Amino acid sequence: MVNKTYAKLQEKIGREQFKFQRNSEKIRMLEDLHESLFNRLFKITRDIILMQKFIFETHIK
Amino acid sequence: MKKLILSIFLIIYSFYGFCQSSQNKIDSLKTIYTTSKISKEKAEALNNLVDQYFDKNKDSAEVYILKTLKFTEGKKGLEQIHIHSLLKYAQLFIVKGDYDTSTSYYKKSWEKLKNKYDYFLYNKYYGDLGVLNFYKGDFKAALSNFDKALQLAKKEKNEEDQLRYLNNKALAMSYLGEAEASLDVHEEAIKLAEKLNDSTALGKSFNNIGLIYEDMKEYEKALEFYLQSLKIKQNSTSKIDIANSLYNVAGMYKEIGEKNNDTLYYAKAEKHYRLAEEKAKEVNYGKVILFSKAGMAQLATVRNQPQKAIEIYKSVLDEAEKANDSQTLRVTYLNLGVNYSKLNNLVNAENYFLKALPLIIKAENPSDIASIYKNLAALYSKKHDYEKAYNYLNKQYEVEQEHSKNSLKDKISEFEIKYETEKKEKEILSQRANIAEKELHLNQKNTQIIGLVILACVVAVLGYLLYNQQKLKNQQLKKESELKEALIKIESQNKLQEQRLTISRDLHDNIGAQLTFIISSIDNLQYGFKMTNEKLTNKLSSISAFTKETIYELRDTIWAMNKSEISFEDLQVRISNFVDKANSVSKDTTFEFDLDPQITKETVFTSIQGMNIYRIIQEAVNNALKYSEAKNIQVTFQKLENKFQIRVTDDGKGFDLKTVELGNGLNNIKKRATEIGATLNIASQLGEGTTIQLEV
Repeated sequence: MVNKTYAKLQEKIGREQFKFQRNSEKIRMLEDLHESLFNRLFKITRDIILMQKFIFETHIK
Repeated sequence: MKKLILSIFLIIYSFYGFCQSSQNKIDSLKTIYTTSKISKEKAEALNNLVDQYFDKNKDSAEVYILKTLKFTEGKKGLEQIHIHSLLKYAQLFIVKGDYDTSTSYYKKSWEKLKNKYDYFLYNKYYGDLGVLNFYKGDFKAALSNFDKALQLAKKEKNEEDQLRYLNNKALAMSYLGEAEASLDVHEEAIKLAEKLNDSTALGKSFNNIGLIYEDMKEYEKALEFYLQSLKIKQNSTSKIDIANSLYNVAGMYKEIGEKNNDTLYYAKAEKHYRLAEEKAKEVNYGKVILFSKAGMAQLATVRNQPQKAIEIYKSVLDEAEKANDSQTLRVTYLNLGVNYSKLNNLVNAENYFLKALPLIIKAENPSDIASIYKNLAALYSKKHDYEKAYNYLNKQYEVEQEHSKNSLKDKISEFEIKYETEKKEKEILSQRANIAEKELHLNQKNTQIIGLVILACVVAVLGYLLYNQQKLKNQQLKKESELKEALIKIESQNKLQEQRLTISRDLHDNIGAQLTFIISSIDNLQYGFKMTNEKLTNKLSSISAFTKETIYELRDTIWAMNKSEISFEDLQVRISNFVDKANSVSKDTTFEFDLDPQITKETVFTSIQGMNIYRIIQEAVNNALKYSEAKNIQVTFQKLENKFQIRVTDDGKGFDLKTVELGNGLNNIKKRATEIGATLNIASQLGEGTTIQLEV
């Protein structure tokens, strides 16, 4: 009885650990993505600001 | 005198069994006799009354015998009681000493008895007739009758009767001088008495052994046995038995006193004779009264009181002559002769000796015969008739030679040893039985102890097993609780991660929408307003392209994230799309995508593996396009033993790995390869292209 419960628990933990591993991988991917997105958004923002500056300098005088 | 003693023992056995009575029983029987209307009941009551009185009161017994005889005379169905009464009457005359009358009644009894066999009556007839023969001095006839009674008892398997007649037979044999043979019969009697646990009979056997010792003139030993016998008999109710024993003991005191010339023994002898006479008088037991008187007369003889002895003997003689008691007569004649001889009245002495001689010869007792010859020899010597004296001495010598005592003495000793040995063997057997019993108890106890030890061991083992099981159970429960705890923890972590992923998805959707908005706004700017400024146009195109690239990256990641695992087929499609796109964008470069046919479509990667492999290929291709000026770029997938090999090869200008500093692209490739545990190999030489090889 005890062994059966114990085995079930172990099986469940195994499943949860697998799930956790997958989720961890995904989160790591997300973190990379977020880092990349942050850099890219920063660059986009910078380029837009530079572009606005250029527009102001050339067209609005 | 020995003859007297023998006779008394015969009486003991004859009357054994008739001595128990009580007044109540007598009263009850009298009531039955007077009130009963049934003849048989009346006759039986009378018969029983005879039995009850026989030992107590001879006169009363005679009255009831006569009543019984009268009542049963000629009546059908009462013949047995009639014959029994005749036999009792005959027996009564033995006790009275009237042997002739007794003989006539035995004859009458036999006339009625001879044609119908009845064990009880036949047995009584032969037994009592044997006693009568014995008292009359006819020991051969007595032996014959005792033997007949004994054979009947053996045939009927009546052991009590057998015991009685064995003793009587032994006495008769002893008296006939067959002492050695009689000892065998005594031995048989003792065995039977022990088997029957009959202490009274055993007492009588002691008496008989004493008798033989007495015959051997070993009076101390004889006295020892007689006293043992008296001790046993004193517990019985039979006064006749006690009187007989007292008489025998008195005789031995007298003999020892005579042997040692000890007056103390004489006094004891006189005391016991008186006690025997008193006891005999209580039951009107004439025989012992007479014998006790004779004993006292003999005591006076040995005390050298011949006058007193003669007086007593003469009174005994009167009674013996009346009763025609040859046994008493011959003893009395002999002793009168001895006493007259002492008084030097040789005429009277010779007269009595010669009267005693034929009776003694007829009785065939060698020691008595030797004694009379000795006395006659002495008498004739005193009378100076030496020829006669010499003849009698010769006769005495011959008789004594014939009757060798030595063999008898040996036989007695042998018998005594045999008896003692048997007794000791019995004791040993009894001790062995006790030891065996104790051993059995010990074995039982040992078995119990072993059983208890085994039980204790079993209990201990069971206890230990239970304890271990409980311990194991506790450990498992502990582990279980630990597992539960870990499960809860991991579940909560998973929930947290899932929440993060959910939030991320929402964020990605939002970012995706905003990036699309940016692209759309830039496109509107480009096409809504006529941009003349080339720099501005290029800048807008660059932002737009970068933003699109960001969206693709976002979409790729979301694609990977939404899958729990990425199949090779998915990965192949995505890479193909990418290669096609690259092919369409870069017209000077030819792309090739080769797949090992061994790789099956079912092959799967984890999302992170799939994502990183895709990114590495993307990065490598982009690098080749940007920096190598390659004309051909080849992406190859190959299956090794347990691995996949992915190669991106270009035929561009290549670079020197030692001198060129690695940029973000290659660093990203390295980082991703490390992340998924893959082996990365970058091979490049100037002018010979570059190969990036990844093994997963």
